[in-house]
Amino acid sequence: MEKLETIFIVDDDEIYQLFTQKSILRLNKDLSIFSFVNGRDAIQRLQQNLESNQALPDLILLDINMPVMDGWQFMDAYLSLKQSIPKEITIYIVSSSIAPSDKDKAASYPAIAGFISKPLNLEVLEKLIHFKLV
Amino acid sequence: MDLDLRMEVDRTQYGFVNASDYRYEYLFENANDAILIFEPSTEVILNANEKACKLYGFEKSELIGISLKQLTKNVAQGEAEIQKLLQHFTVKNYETQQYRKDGSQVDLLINSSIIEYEGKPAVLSINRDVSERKRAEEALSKSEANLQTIFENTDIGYILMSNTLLIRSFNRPAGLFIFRKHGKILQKDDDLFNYFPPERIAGLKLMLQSVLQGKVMEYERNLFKSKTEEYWYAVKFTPITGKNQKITGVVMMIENITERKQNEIALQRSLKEISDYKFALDASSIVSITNPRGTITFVNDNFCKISKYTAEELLGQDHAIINSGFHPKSFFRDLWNTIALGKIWKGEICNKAKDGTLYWVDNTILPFLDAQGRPYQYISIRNEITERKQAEFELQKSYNLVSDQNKRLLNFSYIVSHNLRSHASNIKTILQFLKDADDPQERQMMLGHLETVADRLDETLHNLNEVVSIQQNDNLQLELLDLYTYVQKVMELLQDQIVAKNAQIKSNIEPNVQVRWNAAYLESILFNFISNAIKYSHPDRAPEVKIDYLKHENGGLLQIEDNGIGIDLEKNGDKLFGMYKTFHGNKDAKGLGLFIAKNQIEAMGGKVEVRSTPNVGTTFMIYIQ
Repeated sequence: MEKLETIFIVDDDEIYQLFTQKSILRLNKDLSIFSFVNGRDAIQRLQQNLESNQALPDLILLDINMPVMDGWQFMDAYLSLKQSIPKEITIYIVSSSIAPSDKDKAASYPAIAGFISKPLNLEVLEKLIHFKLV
Repeated sequence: MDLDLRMEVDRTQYGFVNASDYRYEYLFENANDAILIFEPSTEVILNANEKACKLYGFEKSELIGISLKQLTKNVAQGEAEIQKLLQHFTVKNYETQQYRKDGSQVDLLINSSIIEYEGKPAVLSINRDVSERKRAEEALSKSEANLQTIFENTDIGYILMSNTLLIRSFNRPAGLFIFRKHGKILQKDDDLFNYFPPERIAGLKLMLQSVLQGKVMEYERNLFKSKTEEYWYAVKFTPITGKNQKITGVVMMIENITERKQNEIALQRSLKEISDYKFALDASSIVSITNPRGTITFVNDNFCKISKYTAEELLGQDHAIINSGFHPKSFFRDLWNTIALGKIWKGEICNKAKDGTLYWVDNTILPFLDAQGRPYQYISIRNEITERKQAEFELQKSYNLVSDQNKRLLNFSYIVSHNLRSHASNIKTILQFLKDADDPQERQMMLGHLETVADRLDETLHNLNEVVSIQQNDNLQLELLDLYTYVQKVMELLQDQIVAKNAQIKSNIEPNVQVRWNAAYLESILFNFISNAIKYSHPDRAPEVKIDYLKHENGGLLQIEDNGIGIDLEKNGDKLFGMYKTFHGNKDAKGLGLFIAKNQIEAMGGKVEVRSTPNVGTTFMIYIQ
């Protein structure tokens, strides 16, 4: 397994973004963290950095409910792009939703590693950045 | 010749005939009958003519010299007859049987006399073959006996009467008939009237008068053997016409017709039963009959009443005249396939009356089959179930409504949970950092974030409260509102945005268009749709909003059309009216307006649809009941 270097946080809640970033840096201040308020911005960043392995994330924390392009639409766009991405990316859904339909939908994507309900506390984050969460 | 001979023979009564007489010779040989001359005691044949040889089948030379006894069946009787002959000289018409040479038997009628033959007395016997006559006689008596047997063994009683109505003869069955009732036994030469009760004599006499004038008269009567057992008989009087068309007698025929009568009564009863059933069916059901091609050949009153056609309008028409168009073609194809096979079809059909109203019937169609098992007509029996069907539809509608509401409620609970949880988890995270923060400046920053989250939580609760109040509102106040006034009012409220965006609002709503709605909701809905239309305008052109109100079915259709950026319905159609759904990245968008508007419309029994093309524009269609 490659070393975790880059994380994308895709969520329209800037307070969540801010504190997740703080938490991750507390655990490992060497990680590069990029935040996006919707799926479209995140996809654009992936498209722009297909050649640069460094800028591509190892881990994506993806929210479902977002304006412009939501988490599912992001996944569909990501899957059509996946062939051209030279890096293995681990994606987790991180959402406040407890609707079974959302959990079922997440499980239906083989590219999604898991479904995490907010709040995203330090313990969970620690496992995440060590790629231990199943 | 035969007669001549007899005349000659008769003369022998007065003396012997001399056989040498020339006339005798001639007659002997040329007679039509067989003639034998034989010796009386030995019965040895002395002479025989041609006919005799032929009769017995002998040559003349063979016949002469043998004793007649050899040819006689009953020799003793023959000898006795000869003794009689010797005393009386002549015996007439004596019948006997003798044998031919070949052994076959022949019936003979014999006339004989004593003559002198070659100086000695001899018997002259004239033998006539009567075998055929005998056979005919036997056959006749046999057939008479047969006839008598039939006559006696028939079940029909016959009484033969003179033209004075005296009983001449009757058969056994006649004696067994009605007469026993009066304790009398039928007797010959008795008056027929003696066998009838006094009260019937006058009528009978009148009837017999007609018979004696040449008419055939008949009647049927019933008697009760017991209280329950009925006995029926038929009587027929037929005149017997003799010579000169004179009535010589009367035949009375009596026949037991109980069984026939019982069958007749049973048949009448079942016919009555059938007509009773038909009456019951006609009174209770809607009935029609069609031929195999579906042409109506019979309709009852109920059919006319419900279909509002007259029988004249229906007869000869195809049954499709009442087709409502509710059912697909395959429905009727299945129906016809079933009944054409001779099977019964049952089902519920929606029909259309002459005036266009629809009615539902529970239908049973029975094929009537011919001897080959092919349907030659179809009877359709129906009962109206319109009310039940309406109740069913209403129930289905309520069920759909409840299950829709249930779905919405569940969805809403997930929305509420999601929105509250997102704030709660933020608060929790911030508090964690606050606890760990030593720097007062950092703490101050955390408190600032906490305040932001608190404000958002408050806003979320406010929004949820608004949505809940719409969904909870059972006793929504509906009143007749002037649509024009409300559109004008909303346009005034939106005046700043209209001016800022240089928007053109074109309302085609005329004054005095009334809608039955809730005032607050109408204002809110108009505000939401019109403000959306201005807000999501295309960057290349000034917004144009067109507002129309059209008649639609039993209500109206409010249409709000813009030339804005449009929405990709394929991508976002299912989320368009969802809570907190925003699509254009607009900073002010909270994703609540359409959600609330939809809830308000549905709370008033309406519905909203959308048509949109990205970069061209969007049209919202609001159906009002």
